[in-house]
Amino acid sequence: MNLDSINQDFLKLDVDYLYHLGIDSSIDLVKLFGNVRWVIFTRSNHDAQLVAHTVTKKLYAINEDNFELNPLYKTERFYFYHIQDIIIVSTGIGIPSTSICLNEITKLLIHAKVKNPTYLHIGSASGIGLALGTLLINDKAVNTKFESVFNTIECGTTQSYPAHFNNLLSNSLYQYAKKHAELNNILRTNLYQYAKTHGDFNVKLGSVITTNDYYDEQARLDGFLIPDYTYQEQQQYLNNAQKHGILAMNMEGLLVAGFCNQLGISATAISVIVNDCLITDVVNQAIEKSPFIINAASLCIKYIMEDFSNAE
Amino acid sequence: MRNNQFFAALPQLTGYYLHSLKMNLDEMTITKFRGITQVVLQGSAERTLSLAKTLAKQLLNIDEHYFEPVDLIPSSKYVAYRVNNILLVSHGMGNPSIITLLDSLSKIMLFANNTNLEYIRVGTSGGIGVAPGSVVITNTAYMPDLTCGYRIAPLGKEIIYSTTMNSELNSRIINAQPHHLDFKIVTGNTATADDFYLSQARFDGAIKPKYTKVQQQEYFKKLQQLGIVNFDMEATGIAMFGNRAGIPVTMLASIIINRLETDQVSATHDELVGYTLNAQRVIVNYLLKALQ
Repeated sequence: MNLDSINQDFLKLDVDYLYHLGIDSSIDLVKLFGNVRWVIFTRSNHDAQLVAHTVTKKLYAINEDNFELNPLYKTERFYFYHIQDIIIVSTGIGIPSTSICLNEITKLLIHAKVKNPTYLHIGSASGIGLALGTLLINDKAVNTKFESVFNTIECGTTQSYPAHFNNLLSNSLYQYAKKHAELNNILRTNLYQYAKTHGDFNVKLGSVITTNDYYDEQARLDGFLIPDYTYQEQQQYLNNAQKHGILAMNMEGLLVAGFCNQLGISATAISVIVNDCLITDVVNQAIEKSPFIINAASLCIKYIMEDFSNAE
Repeated sequence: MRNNQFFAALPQLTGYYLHSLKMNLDEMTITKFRGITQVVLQGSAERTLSLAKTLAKQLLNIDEHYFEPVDLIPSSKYVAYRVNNILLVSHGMGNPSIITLLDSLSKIMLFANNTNLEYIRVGTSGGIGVAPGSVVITNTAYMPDLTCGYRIAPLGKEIIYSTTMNSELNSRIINAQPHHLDFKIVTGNTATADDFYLSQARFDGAIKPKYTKVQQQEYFKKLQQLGIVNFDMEATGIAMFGNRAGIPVTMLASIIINRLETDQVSATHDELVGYTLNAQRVIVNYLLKALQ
């Protein structure tokens, strides 16, 4: 982690209340979470459950499905699991909710004196010219103007989060990288190579548009509200996106990239494709029968276990 | 109600899959939601359940100890309970989450022919010069850069939508309150942040803030000059949606912390429950009157 960017103020508090997680620093967080090396973020509680289940089966070589895991602490906002050196937590939908989760998980790990955690975000996404079930490993996130920068308003002022390849790029490259909300290069390339060589997964590497809603900003025409664009304009926009190497749309990528780069946390995101916008805006119910999210979870846990055995 | 004609004309509409709810827009779904007149939206599933039980007691005299309402939404992202003509729904945190919900919900309402409809968000929020325990009813929602409206950029082009709440609905809620409440009701404007920490000018997030304590106080002063009395994370989204859809919307929120004094939500569990109950009491008073 980039020590210069970490806020020191909350470390000085007598007790730091991680309000939305329902944990506070009065308990021995070093003892409880000092071992954490990986955090897997999912959008829904159900996905967190599925991922925790998949990870547990792999880690403990369990073949049966008939066991249940209980989420820890407050379940009002997020579902939180801690399995060996992995935290699995749901973030809710969109940048604001995910931002709260990333802030409080990161504060938790700083309290626990975890030095270099790796964050993996898994979530369903609308593909642009991709087959259903594809796992798109994100190389960068962009906004709806295709700018690779996370703009956020802080204390009334717009701040643009630079996205740099932490520990790797020199200062001169840092200035250039300000304009590109790139996710951690090494991690995503490794994960992509791993998935390619292990053949089980239909995997692509590409960029993702991150939007602040599911309909208007994702150029959908099947929303309840009257959109400000036509079918022709939608098609033109999506084709244009494809030309820019943008292969999917989600609602969190820009934040995960911007936040993690700011703090120097290794991170990448996997978009699980549930529809192809070039064919239809509508997600077909049949996808619920094939929980593609399990493929993404399997990829992550295999990668984690391999990394772990290498480390030993 | 105004809706997208393109949506209504989709050929595959019968059984249209509402992905965010994991529900089909079919007769079985529509029947469950037919006749709804008020939708009460709260952030968390737990508060939604507790309000459903309170309402069942107050409206129908059903003892909450022997009654477990049924969640009408299969997706784990949201819950919905129905008590009489009132739908109680959880919306998660932030505009993307609530707007996604409102879209799917409104499609069901349209097909159920529930045209006489109100959306009311009942939330918790940080007060700006308002004491914990008070309840704020929002007139107009602002973005955190003080834009009066909600800015989105579909296809990369920016548009700003109006974020004024329905003033008649606000008056009806205020007029339904008894004279002797043991907490204050404040009407004012709300600033809707996209984050709990830096966007609300806090000093206790993970990332080091780029502003000073002095700049924070100046920012709060500017907010106060615009009549902004609290921070939340959904008011602009729900106001935009209501205005575009032609559905009366508003928001009331319990104050759980005074941001002029502190950043941390350090109230005890019992105190927080007490604060939250105040906004629930205001909405229950209104609903009892509306259903008369």
